[in-house]
Amino acid sequence: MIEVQSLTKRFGDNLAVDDLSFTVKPGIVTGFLGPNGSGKSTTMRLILGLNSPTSGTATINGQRFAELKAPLREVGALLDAKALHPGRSARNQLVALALSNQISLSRVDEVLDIVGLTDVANRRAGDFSLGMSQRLGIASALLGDPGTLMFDEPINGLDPEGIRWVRDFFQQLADEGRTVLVSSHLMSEMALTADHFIIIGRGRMITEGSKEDLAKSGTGSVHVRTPLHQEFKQLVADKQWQMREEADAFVIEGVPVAEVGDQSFAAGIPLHELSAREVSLEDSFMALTAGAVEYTGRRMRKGKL
Amino acid sequence: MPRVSIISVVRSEFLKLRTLRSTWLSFAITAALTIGFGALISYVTKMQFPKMSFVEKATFDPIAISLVGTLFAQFAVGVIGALMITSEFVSGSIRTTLAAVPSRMRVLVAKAAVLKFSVLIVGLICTFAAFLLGQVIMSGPGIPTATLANANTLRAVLLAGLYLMLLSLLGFGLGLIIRQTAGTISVFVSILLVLPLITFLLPSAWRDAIAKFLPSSLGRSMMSAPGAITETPLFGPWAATGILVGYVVLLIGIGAYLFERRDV
Repeated sequence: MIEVQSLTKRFGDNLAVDDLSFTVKPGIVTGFLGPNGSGKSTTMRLILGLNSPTSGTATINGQRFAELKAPLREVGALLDAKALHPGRSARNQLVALALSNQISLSRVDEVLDIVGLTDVANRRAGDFSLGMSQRLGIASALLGDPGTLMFDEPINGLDPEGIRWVRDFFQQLADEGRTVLVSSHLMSEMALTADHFIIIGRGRMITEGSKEDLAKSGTGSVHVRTPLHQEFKQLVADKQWQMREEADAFVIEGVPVAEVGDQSFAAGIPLHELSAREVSLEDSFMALTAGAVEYTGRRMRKGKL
Repeated sequence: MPRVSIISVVRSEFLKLRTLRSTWLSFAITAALTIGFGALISYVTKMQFPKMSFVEKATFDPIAISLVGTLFAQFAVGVIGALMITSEFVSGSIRTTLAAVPSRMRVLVAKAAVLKFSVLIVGLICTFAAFLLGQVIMSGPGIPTATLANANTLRAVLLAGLYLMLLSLLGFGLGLIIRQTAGTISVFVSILLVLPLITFLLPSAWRDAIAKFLPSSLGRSMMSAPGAITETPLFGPWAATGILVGYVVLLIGIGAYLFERRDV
């Protein structure tokens, strides 16, 4: 269980984390989402005591990180897969961590096996691809068999097989009753990985909720085509539905597709098309964070940069 | 439940030091410079001895000559000390280290202890080897040589090893403050090479007052025969050791203060 209360971090004039409060519960995978530079990594560093907060607190199982007696046994973290000495072998990176927390060396071989790096354990970590480094980082997070796990952008650089493995693996960790916090700037990825979402932008909380909560916050629409334009418009007016006209179709917002179909049938209006357009989690995410994007790219015009 | 202790962190840091190629390379360079240069200069001096003036013969210091390699090896041990901490900041692995051991002072003490122990052992092996080899090379008719049976000689050889250890800690302290490998090594080299050059541009009264405080001058005091005649006045060996220890304590103290407070 991770509890963050009124956490604030200021770097000079820049408020990197602004009065953030949330709880990460055990037993589910929590997705920590936000555009680049929104403060996800800073928040994780604050939780681990690597940065000191300007104000507010962060605790793990009710204790500040600095108070933990054997931190790796309580919380495992992957912050930056490339943040390791390139000259040391993968195995020795893990042995160094294991020694510091008095974790048995047989556990090192165990976690290497879990992440599939046994065959390359004695190679220099500097020669690893980003995907292999992510696996090594996941292995170091697992080393102490902790009840709380944090992963900062763990999916970057993984191949499709690796992404699927990581997804299933996080789910499995949560099913074992662990607290799992996974950050990403890609909603499309998180939609498949997490059960609960914390979305931040410019260091502030934007929204928090389950997949269903988020899907509801963006409404779907129903597309209708019919030869009887006047009659259909009359029906829409009677029912007080929100409607706009597109080239050859009517688009109704916020009404279940069954309702539109049933009412049209009851009114005797033949429909040539009746389709529901669902809003994806990604669309909701884009809509929610639209005002909080730190760096916006320009759309390229043809032939011009 | 097993927990983090200073011993477990020392074991971790010792593994980290010995599993890097740069450590072994730097120690090999330390040995090559201390022993190799000592032997070379001893040989050249022996060849020159018959042609030396009366004054040169009177101030002939076989101890300092055989240990002259430490003045080159000091750069190699400084690099070991600097890398011990800067490599963690440069690669970002300091976050992994502190996410496993939240007490920064514990990490600092463990790193300094591992560094001290390793460089002292290697340093003493090198200085004793350099001294003994140098005396064997220089021995010949009419040339004075030194023996470890003499307390002052033993002191000089032991302090030469200690000097290397203190210089590695100086590099460590600078690295803790500067946090960058290139910057740390530049400052380290400047202190040892550029500051002495600057003192030579000063009026001689100032130079005599200042030069003896330079780490390189303190090193000469530590590993010379007592009363050796030098171009500027020097402290006695024990006073010099005390001053150098003071520098190390001050630098690491500032570094520790900053390490405890700064974000990583």
